[in-house]
Amino acid sequence: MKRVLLFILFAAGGAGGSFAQQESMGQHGMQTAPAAGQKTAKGTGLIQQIDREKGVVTIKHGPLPALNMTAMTMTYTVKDGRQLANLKPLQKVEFDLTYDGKDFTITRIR
Amino acid sequence: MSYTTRRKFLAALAGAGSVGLGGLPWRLEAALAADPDSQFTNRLRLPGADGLYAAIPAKDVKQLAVSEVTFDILPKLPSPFWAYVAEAGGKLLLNPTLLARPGDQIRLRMLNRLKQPTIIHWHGLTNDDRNDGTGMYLAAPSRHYDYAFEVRDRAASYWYHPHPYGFTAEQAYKGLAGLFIVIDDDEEKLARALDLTLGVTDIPLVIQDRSFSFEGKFEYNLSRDQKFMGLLGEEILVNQTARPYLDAARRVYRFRILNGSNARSYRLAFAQGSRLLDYYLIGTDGGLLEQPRVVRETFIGAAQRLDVLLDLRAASGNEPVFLKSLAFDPMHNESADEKTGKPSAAGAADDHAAHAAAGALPDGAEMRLLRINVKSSPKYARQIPSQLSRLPSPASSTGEPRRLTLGHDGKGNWNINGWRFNMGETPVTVQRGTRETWLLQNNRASMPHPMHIHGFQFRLQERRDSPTQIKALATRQNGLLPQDFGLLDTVLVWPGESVHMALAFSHPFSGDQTYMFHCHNLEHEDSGMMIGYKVKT
Repeated sequence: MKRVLLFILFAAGGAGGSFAQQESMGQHGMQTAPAAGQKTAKGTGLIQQIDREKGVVTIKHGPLPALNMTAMTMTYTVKDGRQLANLKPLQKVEFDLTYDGKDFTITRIR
Repeated sequence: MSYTTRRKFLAALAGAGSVGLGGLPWRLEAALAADPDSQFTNRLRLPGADGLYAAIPAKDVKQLAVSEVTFDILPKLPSPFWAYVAEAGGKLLLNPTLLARPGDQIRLRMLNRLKQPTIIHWHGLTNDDRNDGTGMYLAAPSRHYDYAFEVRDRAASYWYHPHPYGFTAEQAYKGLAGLFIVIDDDEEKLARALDLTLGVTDIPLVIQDRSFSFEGKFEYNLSRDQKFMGLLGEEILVNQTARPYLDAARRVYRFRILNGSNARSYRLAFAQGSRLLDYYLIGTDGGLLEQPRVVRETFIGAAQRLDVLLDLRAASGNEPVFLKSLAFDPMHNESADEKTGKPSAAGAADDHAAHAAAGALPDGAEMRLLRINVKSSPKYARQIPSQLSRLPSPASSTGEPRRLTLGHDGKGNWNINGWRFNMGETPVTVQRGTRETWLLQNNRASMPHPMHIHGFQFRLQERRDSPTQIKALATRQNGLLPQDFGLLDTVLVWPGESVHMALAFSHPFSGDQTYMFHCHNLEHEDSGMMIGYKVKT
């Protein structure tokens, strides 16, 4: 039942911008991209929340086909936390999201 | 599996997942962030000389064009926005704050520039059915509708919004709503006593929850569940400002609060840190109370207005004060057992869960709405008057109350006495000049319904079988809440609760008049939780 529950939750997330996790997707080991090789997608989204101490940002973003991701709201780690300094909640941003087979990381955001 | 049971099951899954994967849903955490200064960075929009909510005498407005405009709801992010647009002195006014005095003659043309029919309802004002905006008369796209009426009501914060059956929720959500403020001698006396100025220290607060696309544009995509439950948004806007702040002096402020949300209720409090500040309830839908009532929290349902005074001299230090909605049980008991009131097995898991789109702020969640920065200021020594106004006596009726039951059919359709709206039908007829008591009984298997009557204001006589969270705020008088002592046009009725409304069907209009009585959860209204009623001469 637990597996079914998780499937439904993630499916719902993929379908329309769901509840996001408190940590980045990669830290939960979500299997949405190939395990081998690094892939990067360019995205556009609306910042929902910034945690500068943890260096993470929650973004409601559009589809990221390069990573086989639909539109959703997710919290991601930012590789260089200094990039968060001038950002504000509800600001529209462009970002690069990289998946290394394990973790999702924002490598550029502005 | 019935409709409500299936919905409960899915909602329970979503609710469990949102919490179970890492504590609070991020949306809720954002609303309660430990670092609110970084969250509330947008200056609250206030009525000014032009633009949004600009104040103008209603009798000077000759045309309101119902238009789609482009407006930066979020900073630097232009979004399509539907607005009532007036022109005055070469300036454009969006959803202008219309000012009037009793006796003013209003003559204005509504021009429909939308691609769907519309009509304006003058919410709370006493009008004949041609000028009320019931939805029986509509302006098709590119057509107009002319209003001509006299302001007959006492001073209060009324409002205007769309009322075309089947389109109301979307049109209101996309921006169409404005205040209609009537001022009289009592109001001016209060303003003088407290040195209040509209837009500066007398501040309208229009609270609405909305969702934005990832590009920062308004989103109105209604799922079947949202049609049944009403739409809950992802952000709370105050005066179309997301995460707003207000710089305030250490003095008394008047806030005219309108819950302009489609469906969401709020439990309003002012908090400094963990301390709740007392505030003064001075008015309701139909204007000033006789005396101020000191409260710490007040529920406000969709379409209701609360007029309050906040004395910021009671705030300590420089810590900001927040207008908050405190946590409460939203009572989504649609699948409860009607006889016992107990949750059904399938529905037990999510009585408190979010019911709307994934990502929405859960109904009943604690959330901050507005940050108030208390600045140092010149000494202010005014005192809140003990007497505000005189209210007309409640209309008492000796006859049996007219019973109206609020419920649903288990298939996703809300109704009133089993009736669903049909244009042209009037299942209730009252005699002009008579007095009646209407007994609204909300089923146990239900949710809160903000019930609004057109054409007449009413007084509440009694609340019975109120849920615990309402009883806790009730006075010793017939279970009534502090705001129940004012003139009302909308009352929030909780599951299992009954309210007695005292109505006097007296008005100066000749001929039979047809008005609406409906739930102001706009998705409920649009899907048929509304009846026409006839006032017969």
